[in-house]
Amino acid sequence: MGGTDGSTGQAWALFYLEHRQALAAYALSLTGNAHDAEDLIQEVLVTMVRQDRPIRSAKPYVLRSMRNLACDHGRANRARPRAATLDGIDVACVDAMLDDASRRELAQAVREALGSLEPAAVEVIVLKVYCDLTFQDIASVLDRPMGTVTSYYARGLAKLRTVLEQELNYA
Amino acid sequence: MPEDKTEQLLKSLAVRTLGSDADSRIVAAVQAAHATRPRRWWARGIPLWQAAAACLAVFAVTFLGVRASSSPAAAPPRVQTAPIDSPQNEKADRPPYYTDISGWKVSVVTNQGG
Repeated sequence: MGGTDGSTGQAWALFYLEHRQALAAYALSLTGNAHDAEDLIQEVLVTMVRQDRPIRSAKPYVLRSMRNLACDHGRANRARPRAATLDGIDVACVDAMLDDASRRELAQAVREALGSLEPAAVEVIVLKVYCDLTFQDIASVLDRPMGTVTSYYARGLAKLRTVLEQELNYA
Repeated sequence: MPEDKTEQLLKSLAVRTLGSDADSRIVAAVQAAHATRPRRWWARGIPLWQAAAACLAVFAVTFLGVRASSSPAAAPPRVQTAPIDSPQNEKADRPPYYTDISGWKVSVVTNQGG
């Protein structure tokens, strides 16, 4: 999509509104707080607009840009080389502030269980479950082979299941 | 990979959002970025004939410049070298035969007698 008729800004604004939940979930995971997450999303989208980036199939590209920028800024605890694992990945995207007490307890347990996983597995789970990406897209975001990504996901879910069974007697 | 119960549980949980205020700020920033972004020359409304004329002018100046620099008048004088033949009676089984011609005088003989 070209940027010659004033449609690019509007198109990227619509892109954000359509994917804001996924972008917010990943940005919160990368930064750990809402303020930095907002800055991260805004900076990446503004760059996309200024560079006249095509908007088609842009979601993995935007998420990858967010990850690279978070690494560059050292927002994930400390600066890391690109495509490295983010040790500081956060599970702040899972909302524990629910009205229902039982749901709140469950969300808290899931947050703690996710926090016990290795960071790479958490990142894959966040991208798969909360950003709704395919494994192929996740592999491109993380710059890792798809087999590695699926392995992280399977191992992460298995461990999560074990932890939740112990904590909540969930079967 | 089939979706298992744990995955369903994760999906059922609420996910934090940044809030409507943050959404508004991001949308406003994105739209403002579009207004202030550096525009490419072809997006600035330059007529095609002007762009073509500029290209032709640059090409003409370059061509004339190259042509002027390669003309004979501008070329530096070249040093001409002439080979000196070896004596005609030199043979392969003899040592080279040298003749010192530094003391020779050259006279022009003309056939005036007809």
